[in-house]
Amino acid sequence: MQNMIEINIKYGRNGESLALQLSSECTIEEIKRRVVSQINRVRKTEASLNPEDIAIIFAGKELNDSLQIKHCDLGNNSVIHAVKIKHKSSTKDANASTTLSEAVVNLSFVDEKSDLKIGRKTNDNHLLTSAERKSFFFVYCSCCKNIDSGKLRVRCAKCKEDTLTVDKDPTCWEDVLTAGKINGTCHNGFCDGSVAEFYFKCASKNHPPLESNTSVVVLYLIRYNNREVTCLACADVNDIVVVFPCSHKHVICINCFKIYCLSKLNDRQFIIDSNIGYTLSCAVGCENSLIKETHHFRIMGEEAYKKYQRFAAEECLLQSDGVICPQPNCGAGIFVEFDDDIDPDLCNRVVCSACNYVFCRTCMQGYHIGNCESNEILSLDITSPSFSQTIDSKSANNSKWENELSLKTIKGTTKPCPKCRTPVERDGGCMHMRCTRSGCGFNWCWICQSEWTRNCMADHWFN
Amino acid sequence: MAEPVPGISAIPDESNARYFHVVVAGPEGSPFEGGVFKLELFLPEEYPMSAPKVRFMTKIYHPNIDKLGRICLDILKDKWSPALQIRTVLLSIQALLSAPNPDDPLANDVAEQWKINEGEAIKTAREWTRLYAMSG
Repeated sequence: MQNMIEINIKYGRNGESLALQLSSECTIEEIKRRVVSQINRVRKTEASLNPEDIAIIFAGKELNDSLQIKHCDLGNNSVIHAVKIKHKSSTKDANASTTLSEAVVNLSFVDEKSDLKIGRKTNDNHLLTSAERKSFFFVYCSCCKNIDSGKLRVRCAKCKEDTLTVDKDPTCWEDVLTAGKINGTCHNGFCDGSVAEFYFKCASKNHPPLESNTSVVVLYLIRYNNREVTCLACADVNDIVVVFPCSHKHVICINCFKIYCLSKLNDRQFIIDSNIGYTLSCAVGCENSLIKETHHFRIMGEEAYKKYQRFAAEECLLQSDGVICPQPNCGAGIFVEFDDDIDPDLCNRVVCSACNYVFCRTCMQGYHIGNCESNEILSLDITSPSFSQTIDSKSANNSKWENELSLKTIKGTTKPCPKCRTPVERDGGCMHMRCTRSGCGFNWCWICQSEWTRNCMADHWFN
Repeated sequence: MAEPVPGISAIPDESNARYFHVVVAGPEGSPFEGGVFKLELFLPEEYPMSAPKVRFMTKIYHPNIDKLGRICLDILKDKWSPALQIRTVLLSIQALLSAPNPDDPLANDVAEQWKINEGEAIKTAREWTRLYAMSG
C-alpha cells in the first residue's frame, strides 16, 4: 500500500464526486476507466460512457492518457475534474504533458529573456525533486497562520470551477495576478466561460484536508534562490529570498527581510501610500520600489503583524484628520464630524465612542472651556477643596499619587514636539529629533526646541 | 571576500567581535596625505538594519569631523541602508578626507576657517596631520 493517494474526482454538473485510492504509478487512462465505470453504475438510465468521451482536467490542463499520477503534482485529497469532451480543440494538446506548476516555475514579474542563461537548475526540470518543484510559490495561509509553499491552480472566472483548460501558460507574474490576461475553455456542462482565473492553495503538510480548497494569498516576492544570489544585508547565500520590486531586483534573504521589517516597524518607519497602504520600499532605498502585496509583512509573525495593522490603521486615521482617544488603554480611533451650527467653543470637544472620555481635540487633555493651557497640561489642580470634598479621601490620594507620578515622569523625561506637541523621549543619539507621529515628521532640535538647522548641527549636534 | 582596500584596514577586537580597530591612510593630494588615522568602529546590535558607529581616535582638522572625532556623514545617519557594509562606510570616510564639505559642517570653527581662508585651513590641517597622525 505504499505510494497510495486519495484523489477526489468531480464529474457531475451538480458537483457529484467520487474518491479513488490510486497508486502513484496509475495512469490517467486507468483513472478514466474507473471513473467511467463508476458513472455508468450510478446513472443506470443514461447512455453508457466510454473512457474516450471524457477528459481529465487538473490545474488548467487536460492530462494525457499516458501520464502517471506521480508526475502530475497531485497531493493527497487533490481534486481533479472529469468532463465530457465538448469538442476536440487543436490547441489543447500543446503542453498537456507538462503541468501548470512545471510550466511556470520561473515566473518573474517582467520578461527576463536576457537573464535566462543565469538560471541554473530551472533549465532542466527533471533535476528537481518533486519537493523542490513545490516550493516555487510561497503563500500566506490564514488557516495554518503560516508562510508555506503553495500550489498554483486555475479556475473558470465565470463558474469558478476548476474545469477550465488554459490556451497558454502564464509567462510572468502579471499574467497570474491580473485578471483576464489568459484565456481558456471551460468544460463545465453548459458554462461558456473563456477567461482563466489563477489562484493559490496552501501546500503545507499540516493544512487541514477539509479546507483544501481555500484559496490563499501568494507572496510573489518570496522566491526559491535558485540563482544563488547573496543577501544584500548579511551577504550569505540562503535558500529562500525576497526579491524587492525595484528595477535592480535587489535580493535580501528571508531572515534579513524579517529583521528589516521588524526594525522598520519598531521605528515606525513604514511608508503610507494611498493605493497600497502601509508598506516598505527596497532596503537599498531604490525609488518606486514599494511592496504592493502587504501580506508579505506576515513574515514578522502574528504579534508583530497585529502591531503593524494597528499602526497602519492609526496612520490612516491621522492622515484623514481623525483623532486617537488619549485615554490610557483606550486609543480608539474617532472621526470628528464638523457641524457649522455648533458653538465654536465646543467644536474641539470630542467624545470617545469607545470609552466615553470627553477630551479637547487641540491639547488632547480632558475637555475644558476656554483656551488650552499652554504646556501646563501637567499641573492638574487636584488639591482644590471642591474636588477632594466630594470623594473619599483615601482613593482621592491614591489616584492623585498615581496621576501626579506618571505625569511628572512624563514631564521630566520628555519634551513636546514643537509642531504637534506629542511628548517625545530622547533615548541616546544626537540632538536631531524627527517626530514619528503620522503626518508630522517634523525635524527639530532637542536643545533649541525649534526646527533643526545647520547651526544646530554645527553647534550642538551631539550636546 | 572583497579585495582589500588600499590605505584602509579594519581589525576586529580580540575580546569583542563587534568592535573594530580601523586605520585609514590620508588620501594622496589631500592635506591629510602621509598621515595614519586611527578610528573605532562599532556594530550595534541592530546592524545591519542600523548604521555602524564610527569615530576618529586621531585628532584631525576637518570641517566635517568635530573635536571628539564624530563624523558628519549622511550614510551614517538617515541615508543608511542594510546594503551598505563596513567597507563602503570606510571608503566614504576616506572620500570625505579627500573632499571636505564646509557647507555641511560639524566643526563650525573649522568650517568657517575653511570658507574664509582655505589656504590657511589646509595649512593647519597639514600641520595637525604632522603633529598627531605621523607619530607612529
